[in-house]
Amino acid sequence: MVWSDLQIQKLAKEFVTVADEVYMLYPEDAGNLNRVKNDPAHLFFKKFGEAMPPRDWNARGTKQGIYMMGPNGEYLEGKFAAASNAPEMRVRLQRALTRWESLRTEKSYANLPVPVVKTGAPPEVSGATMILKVNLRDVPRGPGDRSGARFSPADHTTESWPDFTKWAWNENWIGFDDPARWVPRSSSSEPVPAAEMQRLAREMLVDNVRGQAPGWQPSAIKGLDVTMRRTSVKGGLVTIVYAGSANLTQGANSFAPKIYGEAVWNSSAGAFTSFDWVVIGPRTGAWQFNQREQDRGPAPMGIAISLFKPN
Amino acid sequence: MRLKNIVLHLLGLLLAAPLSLAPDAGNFREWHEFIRPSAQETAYTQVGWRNKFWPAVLEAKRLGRPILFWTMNGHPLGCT
Repeated sequence: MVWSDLQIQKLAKEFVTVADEVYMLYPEDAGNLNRVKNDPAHLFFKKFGEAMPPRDWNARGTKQGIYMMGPNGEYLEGKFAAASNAPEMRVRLQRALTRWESLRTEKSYANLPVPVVKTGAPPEVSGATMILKVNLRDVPRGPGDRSGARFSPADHTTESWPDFTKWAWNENWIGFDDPARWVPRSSSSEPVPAAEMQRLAREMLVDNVRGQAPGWQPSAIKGLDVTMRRTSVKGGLVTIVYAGSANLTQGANSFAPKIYGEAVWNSSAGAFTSFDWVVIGPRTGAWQFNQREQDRGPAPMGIAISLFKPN
Repeated sequence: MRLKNIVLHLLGLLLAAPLSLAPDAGNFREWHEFIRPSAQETAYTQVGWRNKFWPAVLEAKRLGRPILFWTMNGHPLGCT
């Protein structure tokens, strides 16, 4: 991906940088386009797109891409489906900044310093009391297997659009508003509350390692048994162990993992200081967009759940 | 680029997965580390990304600065 390029990271500091979902901003179908037709964000992006060279703007399809624009939507540079070619993106960023120098003089833009911001969670979860980052990865299918490797040189010999599908990991997010529900009420072992556990399973224990997958339907939960128990209490810090298993099956798609986790709850703060789970098991099947048509399993998939600390 | 890929490949070999596919008290830290993305894989976070387009536009207008917009189907900062 272009963002690992140090020169691109440096050039990006000259811009107000923003990442956002494209479909809600510029839908591809007529019905949803009609829904956003008066939305100022859509109109701003649409006007920018209409000023782009046709070869760089996917007028009929998805607008996924990387775009550089002036503060009033003036065209500086950009290209749809551009996240894998770092040399090209370096050139485009430099060209955008050259155009910006002319534009800011022409329009007397203030060109004030851009505040440094830290990349946070997606907006859908950023207001939650407890935010969990959920990482998925294909894991070895046997001794010596490298299909779930962090890096494979073969994956990096080309820089074409579908290259991202070879990266065997992904990241999802979920937020909960009542973290105390994940804390045992006594020293005895007890089930994790069903509402929280079912939501976690249906939304996060999905196979989108290499593409997109929907959440599980309620009826897909054939088994979900996760207990929690305190293992120590010291100075207001409660150490908790979680263990169990799940069986999620919907048609030919399934995921049947074992679950183990540990967390530390700060009683006086009413918040977790750590929350780490591992979920591993065989997955089967393929969804329309999860790139598993040629790899329907059963094959092991691993999920790591971690507490996200915004600051 | 070839040298960089070889180094990354060797790093990957060092980060071997535990033998058992059943997470437990003995191996779960190792599994957690294996599954989570490395610093190289999350290099995109080195660019400080705002997470909503329109507030960023308004900020750019206030500052009189250009906008760098990265957009995907599914939020680029995580497919929630």
